[in-house]
Amino acid sequence: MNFLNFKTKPRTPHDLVRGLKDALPKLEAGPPGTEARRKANEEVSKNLQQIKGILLGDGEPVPELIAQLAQEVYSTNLLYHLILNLHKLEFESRKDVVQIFNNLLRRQIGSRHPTVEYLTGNPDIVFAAFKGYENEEIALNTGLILREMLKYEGLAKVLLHSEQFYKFPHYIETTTFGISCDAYTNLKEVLTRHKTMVADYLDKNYDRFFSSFTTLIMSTNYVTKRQSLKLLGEILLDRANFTVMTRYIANETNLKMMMNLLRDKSKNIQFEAFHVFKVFVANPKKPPQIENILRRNKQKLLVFLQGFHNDKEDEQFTDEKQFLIVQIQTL
Amino acid sequence: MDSHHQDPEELYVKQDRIGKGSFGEVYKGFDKRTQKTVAIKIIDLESAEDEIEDIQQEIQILSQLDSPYVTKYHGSFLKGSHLWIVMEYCSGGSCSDLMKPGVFREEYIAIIVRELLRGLEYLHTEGKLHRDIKAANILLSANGDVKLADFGVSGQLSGTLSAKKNTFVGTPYWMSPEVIKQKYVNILTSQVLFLIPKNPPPALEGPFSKSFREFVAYCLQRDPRDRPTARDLLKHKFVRMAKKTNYLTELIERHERWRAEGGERVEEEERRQVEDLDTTDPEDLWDFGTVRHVATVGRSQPNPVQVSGPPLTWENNSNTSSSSNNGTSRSNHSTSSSGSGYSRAESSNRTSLASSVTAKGDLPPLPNAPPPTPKKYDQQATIRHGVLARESSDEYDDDYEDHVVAETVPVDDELPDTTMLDSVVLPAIASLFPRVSTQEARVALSALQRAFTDAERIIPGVTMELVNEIVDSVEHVEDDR
Repeated sequence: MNFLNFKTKPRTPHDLVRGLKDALPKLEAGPPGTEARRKANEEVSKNLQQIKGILLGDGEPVPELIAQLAQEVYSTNLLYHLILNLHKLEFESRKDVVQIFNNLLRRQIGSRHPTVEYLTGNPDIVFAAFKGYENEEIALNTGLILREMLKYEGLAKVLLHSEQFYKFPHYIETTTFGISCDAYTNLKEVLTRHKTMVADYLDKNYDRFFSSFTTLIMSTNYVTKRQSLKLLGEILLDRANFTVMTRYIANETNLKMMMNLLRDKSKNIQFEAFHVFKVFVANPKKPPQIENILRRNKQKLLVFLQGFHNDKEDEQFTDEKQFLIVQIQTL
Repeated sequence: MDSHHQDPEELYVKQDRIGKGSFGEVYKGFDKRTQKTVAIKIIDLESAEDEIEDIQQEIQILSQLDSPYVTKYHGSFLKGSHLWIVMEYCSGGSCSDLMKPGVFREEYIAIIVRELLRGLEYLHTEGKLHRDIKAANILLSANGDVKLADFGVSGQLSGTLSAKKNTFVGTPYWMSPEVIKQKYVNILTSQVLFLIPKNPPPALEGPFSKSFREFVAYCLQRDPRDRPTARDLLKHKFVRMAKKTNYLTELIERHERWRAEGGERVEEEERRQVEDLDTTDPEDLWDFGTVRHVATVGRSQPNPVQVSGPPLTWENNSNTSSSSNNGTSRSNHSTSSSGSGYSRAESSNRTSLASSVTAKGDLPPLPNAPPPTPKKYDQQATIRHGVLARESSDEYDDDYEDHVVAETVPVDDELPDTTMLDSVVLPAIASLFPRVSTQEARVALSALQRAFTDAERIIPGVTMELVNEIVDSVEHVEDDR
């Protein structure tokens, strides 16, 4: 009830944050439907509203108030508690949490991002947000928080370098469409946004990463498979990942996989596979094992490519296909 | 790793098809667990022209909405390459459906507008923009509740305030001047749209109350800064005086009567005809049945009949008036299908939309005869530029906002094909005259004008096709920033 806010005295950030934190454990204290629960819910949503008001209120933001609020949030570890209790909150309150969280994340003092620094020192919060995928009720809320976190290299690095990172395939494969896609978007965010950091990681963790990623490419889920191939193409063709690409296209198992995917029943998957396959063929220094496979299949490949997606009116694709045909002919 | 994705057919029962568009189909169905009726939108991702990311964006937005003024989202499930999006079912149908028996009286409009504004107010406080408000996207529940649907092109304003809200999405005839201007190049594809930013705002004329006329004028101010917010508009007399929503059930009853009397049959056939022409080319930047293909949207034919007459009349009218539509097209289109490929094959007969059936990159077939006026439907279609292409089943129909605009946009009745020549190309060449200094150059420019004019005479529509080609080759530069 917004109009009530005007009547009550504005509470200090200290009161708001403490009040909110204290109300969280009471949310599921008694049996459902009791007065205590209702009150706790009310308290939570009221405090969230007011915190939101300080951060993105209608009027001019008051920097001192925001600074105080942020300090209280950090010192009480409020963000962590909010994420852990998110599923207990009401629909609108959950959205408020996302807004508050993401607003704090974006907060900047000069070139510093205090909340990002705080989270870097408290990686538990990053992992708690990531774990949100395990609860479909809140997965899209925590997904949004995670997405905002991953914009910052330090936080993306925390996740990428963790053991938990390898839960992505699980989250992508076991959730319903909307959540699965959200998880995929975040995976992609981790792998494509901070290029040098990622290139370094992929180089050092090549085997583990690609064996995990291959499970996504071979997924029985249409969307996962299609998106993974597309992402693979993006990763390999990124200049920053040159060494990783070189390694990937020297491997004959990878080549065989792509050649099979070129013949997938889905046109879209064929097309994405093409954009990975082309890198193997275009490689001017093809290792012998790769060249052997291509040479062995020379005639078949030529026939296949001649008839491959001829209805596409994409000049670049046509050029690339033509280039591959020439490359294969000269084998 | 095997997936544990839930099979939607274990949860929902799919029943009658209630709609169809370029995106796929909408079914009525019910939830096995609750027995509640739902609407199920099924999209084949393999043939959908949208990126999966865009569809996900829509779902993300939907999942964060909870309002009596917005159709509720129940979930989405993948089955093979088919995506099921399960939504609240609104048995009253869309306003464009409900207008088929005739336009709405002012008192109904007031109710719908009020409810619509409440929905918009909700969305805007959520930092979300619908960006495609039109009759086909306004649904009624059985008891007359009004709900906004189809968030295919909606946008989310992040805390960093993206500039995306000014992108060229939505449906051309009720886009605001600033949105039209921003995508100037794209607009070349539709001459009528040019007129929106240039001319003074239209005014509602006709036998309407003063408060209604005032309300419309209030909404249509050219400068977006002068335009009231949804919340402001809710305070307007026109809206405040509106009756309760349950009066709207009268519109639903009227539509039922009209259907019982056979009104739907003609509709259905015409609709199919248009749907057939929807192409879905995954590589296409633009949705089909939209602005990109000049011939479809550009030549509206604001026919005097439309102003006062019910939309049905209008649709028949534009149908018969299209010069190359000889009436056989309907039967040829009795079997409809969507998705790429089909449409091209099936449109062998020359319907009024024949020239629009090309996918991007195809050379558009140049019309031999002056291209016929497009059907009314096309004006309603939505431009989804890089965003979700999804149309609700009855996208092609009329709505009152359109009336407001269409009746006042000062275009010729016939709006000839030469508009592109007369109002774009020739003036453009003319504007070059002062910039050249020699007589020889001026002669060359005149020759150029004459050449265009001659070409247009011999190949009617050629100027527009040419411009379209140019636009097509540069449009990616204009992509959302």
